Amino acid sequence: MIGVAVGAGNIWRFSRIVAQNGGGSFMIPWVIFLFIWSIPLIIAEIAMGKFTRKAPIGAIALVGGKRFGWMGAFIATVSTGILFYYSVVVGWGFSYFFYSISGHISPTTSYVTLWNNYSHSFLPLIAHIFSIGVGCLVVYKGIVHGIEKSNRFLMPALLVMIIVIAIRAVTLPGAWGGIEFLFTPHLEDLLNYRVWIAALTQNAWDTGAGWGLLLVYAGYAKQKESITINGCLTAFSNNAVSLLMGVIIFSTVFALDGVGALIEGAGSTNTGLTFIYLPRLFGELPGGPFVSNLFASLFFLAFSFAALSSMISMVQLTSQTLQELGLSHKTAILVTGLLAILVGGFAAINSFFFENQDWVWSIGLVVSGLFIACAIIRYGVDRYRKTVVNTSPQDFKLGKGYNFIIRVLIPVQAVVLIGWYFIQSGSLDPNGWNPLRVYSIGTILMQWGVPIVVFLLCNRWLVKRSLKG
Amino acid sequence: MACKKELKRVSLATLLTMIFTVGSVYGGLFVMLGYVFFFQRKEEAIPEEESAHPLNTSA
Repeated sequence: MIGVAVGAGNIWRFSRIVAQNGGGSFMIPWVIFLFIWSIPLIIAEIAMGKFTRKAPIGAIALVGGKRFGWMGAFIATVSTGILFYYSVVVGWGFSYFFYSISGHISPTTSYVTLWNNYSHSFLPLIAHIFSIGVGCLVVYKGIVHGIEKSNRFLMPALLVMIIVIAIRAVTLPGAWGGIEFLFTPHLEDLLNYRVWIAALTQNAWDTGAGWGLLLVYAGYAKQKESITINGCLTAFSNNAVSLLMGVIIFSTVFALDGVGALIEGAGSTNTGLTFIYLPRLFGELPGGPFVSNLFASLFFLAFSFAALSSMISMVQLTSQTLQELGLSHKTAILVTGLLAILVGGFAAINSFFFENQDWVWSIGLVVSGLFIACAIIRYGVDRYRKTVVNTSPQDFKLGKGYNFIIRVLIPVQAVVLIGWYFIQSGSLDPNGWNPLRVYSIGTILMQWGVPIVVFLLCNRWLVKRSLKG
Repeated sequence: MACKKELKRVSLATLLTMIFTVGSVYGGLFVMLGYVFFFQRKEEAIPEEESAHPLNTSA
């Protein structure tokens, strides 16, 4: 399960979101949400998957009641929306692996220019089609075991490389500035709704809370497999990797370019932060170009596989949902792949569309988490804890505090954060309701609203097919 | 020496945030790993059918 969740969220997205949201001010809510959002929801999802053995529509209908199957459809839509641009990031990883082995990454390279040239070309589109093709083929052929076997070598290798480059990064002259940035809070940022909403969505992104991926995965786990231990380990280990990556990236940025790089320089707070500064850090390793090239090649290969394995579980979720609705295995994967190529294709060639999709569907994770909590509340929180969660003999048992988190804290967090965002943004931003703006409420309402209305209208059919399938 | 100097000038807020963040994440991780390795009940291996799901990696 840790393998499903460790991926681009930890290595690529975390540093970028921290850079955009004030460093240390972001870290405080990020940790708080680990305990009161991600861990409880991951446990709820794993338990729900083992209990229902269904994709999100069937699972929510079985737990929350048949009237609420549309909520499960929305959860699947959010994960599918993320899949469409996630494969673009997997493609970047593969591209940088090919750059590394072909000698493009060397101490003389200008990495900002390399990134800018790459991201403004059609190469990301080709890499996106390649990665979605590989993902669909793996699910279609059922050769996930092959990928997992590779990951048994590549994931520990990735972890070792992260530790090695972390040591190098923090020993660079001036690296301390980056660590200070990462851990220094500012009161004015803590009063900004965007910091809180970004912290919650990033923690959900890191750990996989509210995605439905762990729900689907747990549906096929052995009955005796633990729920609470697996849930906690998944969440903590993911955040541990994210934190280490944050230390690496910010130490490197501050050591090599100083604070100005984060404020205005060279696209460093944009999507390419990891792809610009990690190769530069590899160049700082002792041993010359050979060692830096070897490290870069191995790192980007391991990163691509870590992200690919997460992406495969998203393809699995979407295609399984479509299969439960009546499509054949082959058709479901084909539809998933074609949709991903089409929608993700726009994200691959247009950075505004990419950022818009990331904004809309990452906030969608907040609603997904709320829907999971709603289904459990309908089922009876105490009953769920006793008869669904506390069932594995090897687990530690959850107490009544879990009831309070699911019944009160999760709904309050979701409603307060989304309400705060809507009120602040809607009243302060004159273009807040414009659906064509990247970060507007209008674009969120349009992209959530259309599927929700369709799912509500088709709820009966969705639930009937899902429970039959 | 440089590191010592840098540690001396770090503000209390930074230090507390660092302890809170790193302590919570890595503390939680090590507690869970400790629980798994030292306290989790070692049950007799019960033969169980392998899951047919392509994502099952527990084999």
